[in-house]
Formats: sequence, structure tokens, C-alpha cells
Amino acid sequence: MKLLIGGEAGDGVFSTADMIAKAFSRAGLHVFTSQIYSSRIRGGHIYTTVRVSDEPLQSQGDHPDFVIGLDLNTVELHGKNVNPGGAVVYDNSAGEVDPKIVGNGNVTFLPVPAKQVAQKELKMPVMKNLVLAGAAFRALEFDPNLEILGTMVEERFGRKGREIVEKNLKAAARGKELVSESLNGAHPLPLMKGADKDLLLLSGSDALSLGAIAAGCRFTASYPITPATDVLEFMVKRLPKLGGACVQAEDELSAVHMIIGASWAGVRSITSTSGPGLSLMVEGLGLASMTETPIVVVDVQRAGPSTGVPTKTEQGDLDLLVYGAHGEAPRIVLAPSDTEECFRMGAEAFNLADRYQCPVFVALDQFLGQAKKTLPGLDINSVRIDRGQMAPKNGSKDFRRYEVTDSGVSPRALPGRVEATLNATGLIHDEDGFPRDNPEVRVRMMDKLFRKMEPLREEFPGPQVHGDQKSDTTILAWGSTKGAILEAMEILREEGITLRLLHFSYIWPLPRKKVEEAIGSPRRVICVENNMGGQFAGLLRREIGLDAEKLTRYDGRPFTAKGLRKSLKRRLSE
Amino acid sequence: MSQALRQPPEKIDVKIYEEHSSPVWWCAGCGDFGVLKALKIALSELGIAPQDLALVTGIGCSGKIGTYMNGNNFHGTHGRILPIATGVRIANPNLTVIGLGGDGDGYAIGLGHLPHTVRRNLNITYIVMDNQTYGLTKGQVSPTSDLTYKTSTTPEGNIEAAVNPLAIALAAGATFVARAFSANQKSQVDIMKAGIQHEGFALINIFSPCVTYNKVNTYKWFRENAYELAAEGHDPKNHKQALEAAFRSDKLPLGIFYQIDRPTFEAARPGATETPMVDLPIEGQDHTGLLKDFA
Repeated sequence: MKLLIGGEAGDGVFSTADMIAKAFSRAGLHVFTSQIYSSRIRGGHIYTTVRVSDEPLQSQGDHPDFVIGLDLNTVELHGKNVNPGGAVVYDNSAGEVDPKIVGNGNVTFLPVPAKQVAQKELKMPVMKNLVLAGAAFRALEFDPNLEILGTMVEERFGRKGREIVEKNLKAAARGKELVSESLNGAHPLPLMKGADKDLLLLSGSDALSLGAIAAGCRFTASYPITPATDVLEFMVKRLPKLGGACVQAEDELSAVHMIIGASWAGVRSITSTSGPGLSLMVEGLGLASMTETPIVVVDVQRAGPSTGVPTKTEQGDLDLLVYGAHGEAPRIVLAPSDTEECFRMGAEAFNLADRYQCPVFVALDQFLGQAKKTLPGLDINSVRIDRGQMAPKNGSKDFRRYEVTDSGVSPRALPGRVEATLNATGLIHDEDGFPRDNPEVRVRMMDKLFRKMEPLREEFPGPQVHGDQKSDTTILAWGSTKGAILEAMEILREEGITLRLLHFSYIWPLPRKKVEEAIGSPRRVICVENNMGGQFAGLLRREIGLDAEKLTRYDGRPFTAKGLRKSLKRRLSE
Repeated sequence: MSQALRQPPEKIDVKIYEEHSSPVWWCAGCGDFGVLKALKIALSELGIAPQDLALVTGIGCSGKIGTYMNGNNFHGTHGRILPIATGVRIANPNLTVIGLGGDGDGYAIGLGHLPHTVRRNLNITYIVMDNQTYGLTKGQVSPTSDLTYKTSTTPEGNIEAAVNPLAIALAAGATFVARAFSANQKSQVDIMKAGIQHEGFALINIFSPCVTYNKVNTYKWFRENAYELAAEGHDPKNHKQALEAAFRSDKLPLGIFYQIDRPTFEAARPGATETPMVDLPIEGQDHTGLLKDFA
């Protein structure tokens, strides 16, 4: 079932939706949320969708079955999209909904004068959302004694005193009463029962941040930017307790250089940004590459170019992530395909950065970064820490930080922690780190810089393989699109169309051989991406000479399973 | 200062700073020679070992100073000395962090970082070798060049008023602002020592003539136009006096303009620990508590 909670920006839409989603997960139900909003603080229209099931979900679903309208506008915008048999609970304090919308007998409309009740009975209009939540739970036959909601209200408002807690509980109870009258004993949309214990509910950004902390990240410097600010705010609440530090830098030029400095001094460091900030950081990336300083950069991609559409999702920065730099600067690019991978790669990025002494990008997007999903748990203490090759502490004064080894990796030392003094520079340098411009040194150091990355072509896994191995059509995709594609494939399978999906999370350096072997030679290859030009298709063409068809979406929205089913079916018939 | 590796500070041999360095490429007579000499003396008198030193240097002739002496050196991108130094300092407050660069690096492309680093008041010493020109790119105008100064990019004479970095720093809340002249060894050494020992951000602008390109602001010119603030009875705790001195253009004051104490970022930040961040253990920790927020 899919819920949609909508209202004006500033009205508590997200907090109400989060509360409902959490209540579901506490009840042992699986949840997948999605946030849709604009670049404004008050007014307009924003909404969260909460898809819920008794089984794990991998995408956000399509049209809603149940709408909670904090205002009439929500009902007018989404009422027509509600699936037959669905329901709409909404606040009619400000007036009534256009009868044309309500007229459709397939959907049950349940008005509740939430704001009036909150104002008159509780003297706190802000509690109107709890009134609606109570009403919604009643209509869904969920948490009948409001126990789960009660616990959450205690947790959230306990600090503000008993009176506030009681009022919140009363608000929910009143909503339940009021909607019971409208329902008149009928149960339009009972929610399924949940059975899974101890589910976690978290976003891609949360999961990534947890992975980073588990991997020993203790410093972050970032500049607030939609939709990446979540990571900075997450770290600000947790790093100091671990002795770590956070700086809200004055800009992204500063942020990337702060983490370079901290990392050079030996602390695992991260910055998080989106497209416009990444553009500013490009020079810094080159510096990290050339000085062989490990850094982790999270790009929560949004629609570009330039200011683009700040609150909308896109997989638009791939070319920038892989190639962005003047000259040739080595780097690693990871693109988690789901929340679990956000955690795993949020941790793995640091080991890779230390072992290969280069920048590591973790590419999310607004959709994956902000979608909340239930997980059965996270093995947060199982993260292995590998700092790569470190020089011995009691080493010689003549230690050469950029020694040209066979592997290309030079053992690393930290300033102030060894006898030798260390020189790092963005200039081409000799093995002691002193700038040199002669041709032999230039070639030797450039060769070393790239030679060290080559083992990744063997080490990195190839694409994950899903679906029918014998299908003559292969879908290629990367990053956050996996869930929608897998679900689309399930729907198509039931319609007699089977496909194979190769999904990529390890983007660069591309493990070419594994990729070629995995792809083989299907009759048709369609590359599905959330950008306009098919950047990943372009990358595959450059790397392995593959000429894939492109299926792109670039309206700022993520793919949906039903939408993909339609597009793929149409494409396959061409 | 490091407690982990070194004994309490005591004077060390200045020759140690000549080890592990490369031949100097500055033009004969370059003001930066004076800065380099004074810095080595200041550090040796403070007993700061090269291993405990982090020289964060910029792009340009002045930025090369990092490889012309012993010490850990991070030679970064143009204009980004202060953010890099910030990261180094937060990661390991036992390192003595000194930023070194020119007026182009610090006051053109890098000026945006100055007020914010000042606001944070990290314990970093920032030495700007100000020659009012762009040396390494062959003599273009700089933000500190005088009006009418003629260069390849201002053939009709500079029409942009000079930036006032000391005033900018003072306005942003700087806790240590000073100016020196590279030909005056003793006062440079004194100011550098004071700046390095100051618990907070120290801006030291050092007039460092470019003998190759700047034929206006020469050693002679500075000897005629600069004077010692201290001789006037200047009170370095008086912010208004400091600003007046910073805005003085008829004659150029030298010395410590302003010095007060304010908590440093490293000490005031949430999570500050005695142990440097780089030495905190990260393996084998129990992070299950972090999951509570998501249950």
C-alpha cells in the first residue's frame, strides 16, 4: 500500500510522514519513502510518499492508495491519482474540497476538522497533524489503541513535559474518534499486519554516514547544499562525542581543502555536496590525486546543469565524477544501488581511499539520499579498517614519501608521527616530494600515479546480475535505479517478458574484463539512466566499445516500476 | 607544540632547518630571503622541531618557501592555504601550523577564506609575503598594488584601490594582526615569535620587495615610508587604534597592531579532546548505540 502525506512547506509534512513511517516500522512493517519538495520554506506544495508492506520493498511505488491531506490543495492535486478502493483523510477546517474530485465513488473521502479541533479543544493548532495521524491510523485499522504512536509521542515530546505529551495523545485520540464517525463502522483500507522485529528505518544519507563513522571517519567539512546537507547535520550530532569535529566551511572550495589538510595529517575525512559544490571542488580533487591524499567525497546528485532543479533527482554528475579535473587525475567512483550499499560503501570508501591514496567519490542522488527504507539491521561493528601501507613509526629520516614502487603505492607517513619531515605538493615531484619539471621525473611519477590504480580493475566486482540469464535483452544500469528496474522486471515477467539486468555499483576504474564477460553478446542492450544524455552508456562505449541503446528519464523524478514497465514494453516493441 | 615526540621547548640549532630542503630559486635580493632567515631563527629560538612543524604554502614565488627549509610542507592550490591549514590543525593540534604565501595567493584568490579563518581563531600563524605584485607570473598587478601602478595587465596604470587585509582581518575579529618588513631581521623574528606563540590566529603581513618586477615599492621606498608603531606609543589592545593604524596610507606602520585573547576553535569546539584527533583509536569500537535513532 502506498500513502501520500501532503501539505504546504513549513506545515510539518515531513515530520508527520516520518512519524507515520516510523510507526509502521515499529509495528514490523517494511517501508520505502520518497520526498518531493520545492526550493521554498513556506507555502507551495510538498509531499512524502510512504509505501508499506509486510515484505521488504525496493522502490517507491506508483500512485497512492491513501492520501493524508494537511491542506485542501493536497486533495485537489492528488485525489484523482488515488487508486480505486483507496481513501483520503484530510483537514477540512478551511473549507471543503471541490465536489468534482470527491464525486468519484471509488475512493472514500474522510474529512476531519483537524485544525479547528487542535485550536478549540487543545489550544494548540500545531497539533492538527497529530489529529490527522490519529484519524489515518483509525482508517487503516493500524495501532488501534494508539500504543505505538503513544510511545513515539513520549520519546519525541517527553522532554517538553507531561502536558504536551498528553495533548499530543489527546489530539491523536480525537482524530480517531472523528474519523470513526465518518467511517460509520466500515473499514475501508485495513493495513497489513507486520511481523518483522527490530527493523531500522533510515535514509541513504543516514546509512552512508553510519558506514563512514564505523570506518573511523572523524572529520567533516561541508557547505550546506540541497540535498546533501543531511550528511553534515548527521555528523554534527555524532562526531563530537567520538572526539571528531565538523566544520561548516564558508564554501566548497574551502571544504574540500579542509578535508585534504585533515587527511594529510592522518584523520579520515569526508565532505558531502551536490553538483554545484562538486564543480567548485574539482581543483581540490586534482590536488588530492597529485599529493596522493585520501579523501572521501559524497555527491548527492540533483538535476543540473548550474543551479538546475535543486530539490529534484538526477544521475547527472557521472562524467564530472569520473573525468572532472584538468589534466589526468586518478580517482575511484562508487555508486551505491540501495540503502544497504550506502552503508557498505560509506565504509568501504575509506579503506579504498587509504589503500590507493586518492579521492574516492560515493555517488548518491536526491532520491536515494533522502528515501527512507526499513532494514532488518546493520552490522555496524563488522566494518574492517584498512589504512593501507603505512611507513613504520621509527623509520629513517631519509624516508621517501613518494618512493616509486612496483605497485605504484608509496607507503604513507603522517606529519609529526615519524622522524622524517614530509613534503607534499600539487606540482609534479620527485620521490622526496620536491617539485621537479624534468621529463623523466614527469613520466615516472605520472606512470606511478596511474599504475597504482590498475589492480582495481581486477579487485572491483563486475555488475550484479539479476533476472533471466537467457533473455536476449539486457538492461544496464547504475546507482539508485536498481529497485525500480527490478520491480519493473517482476511485473514484465508476469506478462511473459523476461529481461536480464546488469547493475553497476563500482563505476571507476571500470573492471573492464569482468564487465565484458558479464555482458557477453546479448541481441539487445538497453542502458537505463536518470539523466538526459546517457552518461553511463557513454562511459561503457569509451571503456569497452559497447554501443548500447539509451532509455533515459530527466524530468527530475526517479524511475517508477510501472513507468519503466511501460517504457520498456514500448521500446521492446520497436 | 608536540608533547608526544619532543621534550619541552628549548632552543635548537638553526642549521637543522637547512636539512631536507631544495636549492632556492628566488632572484638575488628577493625580500623572501629575509623572511626565510627570520623564520628559521624564530623557530629555533622557540625550539620547534621540523617534525612538529606544518608549513602550508601557497602558489607563487613566496609559496616555494616550504621546500627551502626543513619541516613538513603541504604546498597546496592557489589561494587555499587557510582551509588546508585549518584541516591540518584540527586533525593534529600538536603540530605548529604556519601558512606562508604571497599577496596574490592570500588577498586575491584566497581573500574569501581570510575573514572566516579569522572568525574561527584557529591557532595558525599566517605569514603573507607582500610584494604588491605577481612575481611568478611575471609582474601583473596585485590586490595590494598602489593606484597608478603600471604592469602588463594595467598598462595605463592600476585603477583599482588597494585592498586592506589588516583592516579586513581586524573587522572580522582577528586576535593578532601585525606587519613587518623583510629587511628588518630583529623585528621580524620578534613578531614571528609573538605570532607563533599567540594562542589564536595570527596574521603577519611582511613587506617583501620584488626586485625584479616592482620598481616602485623598493627597499628604499619602504625605508622612507615605513615606521615602527611601538615608537608612537601604540596600544596593541586598542582596537580603534589598530584600525586607524591599518588605514594609515601616508606612512606605513610596522609592528604588532593588535593582540588580544579569545578562545580558539580547537579548544572551544564540541568534542575537543586532550589527545590529538589523529591519535584517537578508530578500530574495535562499539557503535551499536548509533543505531538507536533509527529503531
